[in-house]
Amino acid sequence: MFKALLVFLFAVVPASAAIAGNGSDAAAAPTASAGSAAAPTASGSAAEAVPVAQGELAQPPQPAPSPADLRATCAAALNANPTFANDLLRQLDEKKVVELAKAQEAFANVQVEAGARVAKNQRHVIMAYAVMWVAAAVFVLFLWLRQRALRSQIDVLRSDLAAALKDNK
Amino acid sequence: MNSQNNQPTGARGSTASWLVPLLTLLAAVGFASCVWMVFVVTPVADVLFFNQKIFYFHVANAFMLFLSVFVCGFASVVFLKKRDGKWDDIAIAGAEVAVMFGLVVLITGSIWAKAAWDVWWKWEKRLTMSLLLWLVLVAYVIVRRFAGASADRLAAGLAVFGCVGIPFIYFMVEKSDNHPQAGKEGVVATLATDMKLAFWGSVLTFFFWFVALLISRIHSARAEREVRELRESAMDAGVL
Repeated sequence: MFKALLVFLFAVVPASAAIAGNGSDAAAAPTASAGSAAAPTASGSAAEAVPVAQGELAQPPQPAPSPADLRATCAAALNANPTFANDLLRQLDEKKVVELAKAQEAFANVQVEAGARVAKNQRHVIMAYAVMWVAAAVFVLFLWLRQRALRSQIDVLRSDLAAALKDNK
Repeated sequence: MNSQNNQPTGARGSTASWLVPLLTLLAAVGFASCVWMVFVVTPVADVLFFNQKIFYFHVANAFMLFLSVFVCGFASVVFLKKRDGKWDDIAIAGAEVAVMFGLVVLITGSIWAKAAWDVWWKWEKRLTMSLLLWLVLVAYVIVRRFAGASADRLAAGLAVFGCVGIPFIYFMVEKSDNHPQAGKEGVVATLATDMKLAFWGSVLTFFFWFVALLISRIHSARAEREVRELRESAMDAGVL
């Protein structure tokens, strides 16, 4: 799969560009040599550049080959020569290509992991809930202990006061 | 010492004896429902993802913090005017409950910041103002504990100062750079229906919890006042 992609990138795309470029050059060349009044227009169409002789009808413009046609042409050329793809790959520094692929894969994994961590960040949510209820529990415990201590102090003071009043009587 | 103060604390706490357990029960049921709503029913938010689940309780605690500080400030103003110990009891109860809610707000906010921004704290306007408010409340509690005879009046002044800060903190978010927005186009207003139900359910739950804690602490403050008065009586009678 990877090989096929590389072949497409390094062979098919430049080849397509070359074919497209050659087509317009070839079409443009007669115009320049003929020195006709029918100079190519800004669009650079091949058909527009064809010289028109006196008394002849202008040829209808030929449509430019579509990318799919170019691709098919290139694929056919590659298939016709099975060693062509391998020759291209041999010219590449395979080690660097593998390292680059690994780095890209690792980067993609880091992004996926980070996304998953943010999307399901249970650790911080649990921490927040724990803090909330620990604080509430500590406060309630503090209230209960203080209330208990106050009650016992009140009971002691009341009994002491009652005893003192009794003694005074 | 008046006759009311000679009554046992249990008699004066008769309302608290049934109201506090009822409110605690309501809060417990509400909390269980909210946890179910937050983790099962509400969808995961688009931007904040799972971290947004902190929001339901963090904001509810912040609302209770504001309410506690308001109760404390209002009771302090009335106390300064009337010099009635009942209002002082309410003020100190409000301050201590506010310290507890404030601590929860600051820590859960910090945990959220770590999850969302990868920092535990940011000197952002609203966070800094919230910290200052909490420190004012801590100062109130410390003054009450250690400032001696005039502690109640000194602390009342601090409470009023803290109360004035609430609107600044609430509206500060409009000027804030990073804090999630409230208001008309903010987080609460743009919540989906399920999220709104969970959020307001959470606010109601924490309101029950706030009232239960406030009543309990008022009851405790009254008991402290009773101890002080009994000691004075005992000293007058030569017991102490």
